[in-house]
Amino acid sequence: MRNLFRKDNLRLFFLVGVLLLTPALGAADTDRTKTLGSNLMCICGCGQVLTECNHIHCPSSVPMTAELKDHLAAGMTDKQVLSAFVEKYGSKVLAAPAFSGVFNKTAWLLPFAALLAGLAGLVYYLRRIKSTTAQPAPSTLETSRYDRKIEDELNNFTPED
Amino acid sequence: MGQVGQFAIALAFVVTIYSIASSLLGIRIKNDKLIASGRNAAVAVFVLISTAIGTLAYLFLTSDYAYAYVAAHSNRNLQTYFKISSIWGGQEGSLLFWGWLLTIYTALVVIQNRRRHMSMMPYVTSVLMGTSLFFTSMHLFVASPFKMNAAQVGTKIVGLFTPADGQGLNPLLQDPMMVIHPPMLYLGFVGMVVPFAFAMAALITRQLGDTWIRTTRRWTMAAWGILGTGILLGGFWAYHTLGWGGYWAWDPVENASLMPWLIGTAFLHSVMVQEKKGMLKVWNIVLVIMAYIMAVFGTFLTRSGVVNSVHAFAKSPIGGYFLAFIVIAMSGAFYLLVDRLPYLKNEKQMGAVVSRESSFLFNNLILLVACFSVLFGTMLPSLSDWITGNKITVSKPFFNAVDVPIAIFLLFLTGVGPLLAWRKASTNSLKRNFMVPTAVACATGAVLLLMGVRHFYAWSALVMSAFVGTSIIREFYKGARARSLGTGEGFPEAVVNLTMRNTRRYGGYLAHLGFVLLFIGWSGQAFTADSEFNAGIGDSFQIRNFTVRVDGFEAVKGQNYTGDRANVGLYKDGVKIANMYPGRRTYEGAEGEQATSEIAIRESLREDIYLVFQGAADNAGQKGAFHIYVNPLVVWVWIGGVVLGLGTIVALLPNRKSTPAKRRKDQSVEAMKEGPPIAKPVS
Repeated sequence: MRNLFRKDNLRLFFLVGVLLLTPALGAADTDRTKTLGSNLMCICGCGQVLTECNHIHCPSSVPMTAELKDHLAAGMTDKQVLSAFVEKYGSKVLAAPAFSGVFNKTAWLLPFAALLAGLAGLVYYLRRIKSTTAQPAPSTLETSRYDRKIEDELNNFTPED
Repeated sequence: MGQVGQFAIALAFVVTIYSIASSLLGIRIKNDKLIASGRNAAVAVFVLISTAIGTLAYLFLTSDYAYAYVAAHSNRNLQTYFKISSIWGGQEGSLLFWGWLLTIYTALVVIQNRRRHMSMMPYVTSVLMGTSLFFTSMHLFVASPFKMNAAQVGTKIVGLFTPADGQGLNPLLQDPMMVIHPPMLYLGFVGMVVPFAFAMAALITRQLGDTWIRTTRRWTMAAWGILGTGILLGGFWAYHTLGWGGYWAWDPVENASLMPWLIGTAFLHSVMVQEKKGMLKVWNIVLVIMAYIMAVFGTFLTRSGVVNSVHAFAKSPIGGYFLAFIVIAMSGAFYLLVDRLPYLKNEKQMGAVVSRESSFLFNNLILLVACFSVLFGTMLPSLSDWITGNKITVSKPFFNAVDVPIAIFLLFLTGVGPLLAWRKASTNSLKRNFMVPTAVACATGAVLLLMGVRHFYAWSALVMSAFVGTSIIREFYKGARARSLGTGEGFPEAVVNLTMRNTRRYGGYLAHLGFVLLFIGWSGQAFTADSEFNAGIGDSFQIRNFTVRVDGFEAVKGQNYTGDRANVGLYKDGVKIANMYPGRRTYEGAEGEQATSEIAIRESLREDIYLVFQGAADNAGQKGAFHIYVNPLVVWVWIGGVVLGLGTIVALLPNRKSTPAKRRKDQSVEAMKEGPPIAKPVS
């Protein structure tokens, strides 16, 4: 059993695992109907994007999908297709707010701004703490081995109940 | 019979008030009998609300349609177990169920701690009963499940009536998974009340050490684990029942269940820093308050009608009461927190920027930003309507764009955190711990690129999964190998013993491994393919390297439905691998017919073939309409969920104690893990 976990075997398992999984990931669907449809909402009230409405013979998704295909067949660009849908059904037909206008732009950027502000604040806090902490004495070869041992023990320590 | 339930609720309302008053007065005048009486009253409330829920179950089982709630959510043809699950199928019953679970938790907490934390427990009881009082008020005054069917002229009741049959349960809810999924979610939500109650009691009594943390850690972890299981069961149900090919739609109610889970995850990590270093005391209380508020907020979202959701109940005034309760609870909790800030000073200084405690802080930040973005996205349509008057929709594209990168960053931290030392990680330890996982991650990235994977998020998720997965497997491998060499145990036995001797640590690693598997499953969504087609008997359709051939159609009939299904052969590279039977059913109810899809799924570790039969494609009924999906790696989501749950269970177990002989062996194992002995310093 121990041999099973030898380095060479582990490498082999990993490679086989990757090879088994990756062919399934090879072909991403680039169908424009699907891409655009996943940016539009079905208006039947199912609350799902157009390509995922699961209503049998849905009175909305079936004609909307046909409409989408017609627009694409007419040679419209993605932007033109989305504009045509907004004009007909209102801005609620878009599955996500367009990146336009102060409110919508703020909505898109706010989560990332919160993340960046949080990261900056945290790094600032940790650096400030570090600068107020006394510097450790320079370590010799012997003490660094002790440091390493202590570090390992601390690393492996988990408080118990 | 319903009067028994209604009377039990009324009595529970009175006893709840008594329990709060008795507990608070008892601690004020230091009267143990009063405190014990308050505690007993809390147990009595459990008995009373159990009587109410038992009564409601009886009404469903006996099909007593004199009661409006029973008539609205069941009918005579419903199977017995669905009659039971109908209890939480609507607004009033689900609220009663929530309240009942809360009384169970309360009874367990007060019984478990009847001889412990004597100064804290009266406040714990009061906070738990305070929450219970809100729900009992809802059952009694706003949303009683025991209202009779009444004929009205205008607002005036002119008589009572009993319909011959009920309206039935929504067919989509007639699924065994829906018998388990909602109770799991509710158990998770309600469980968040327990740590909140202890945190408030700690603030009130100024006992802000580790006591409340240690007492509630298992409660929180159990609630968190159950909530996570509930969320995954919901995804499993959606995938196998709804027929749109996916398991997570970023619906507001799904989001509402995710938010307290994210906060709970943050708490379970930051609590370790408080236990070990006496730090983050304020932060932990903030997290507990937020988890509680998010749990109640989730219930509010479902019931207020403030957001548009397929899960939500009809718009009702109940939302206002919930909002008021949330505002009161939050104000009270934060007022207490601010008032007690002087008692919440850190005992030690934070370590270096690159240290384990710092990684916990980063982990908390990411989890909080994730929670914020989910909350913000969920409320965005309402905010847009209120602020700009413009009605917008916020669905998958927004959440995927915002939350997927955040989640990948979180996955990265999941791998990094356990590899860092407490206080300060040295360059050597960083090299030693990171080299192998980083090499494996780089190799994975290169192989994926060579295989043609170009979807950036999916590629990143898989590379990070390789990094984190390797670091976890190495931890198990290193520990178990040392143990195996030192004790002579076989490797599998060494893995088990290693885990059981430090359940919290290795349970945590297992949970992280589950998280990695979840990511592998999620990344498969970037590579789905689907197509709609019409086919008659003998017709074939090809998608990727799969072909489906329709072999026949047949009618089906069940206890409360009729329907039809197709017999479809599934071929891979020309070889038949399965027969699939997608169908559709029509349920007869008082409100007319309701159609549902019966999905056929051929699952494998690499991909699922997901086939939906949408019914006849032409008037002659010669052809059927189908929707087929190829969904790679989905099964890893369910496997990841199981591993995550297993890790949680392991972490909840107490550490296995070793015998003296074993201890000596274990010490030698520790010595072997550390390498050759270090020479004693010359004194």
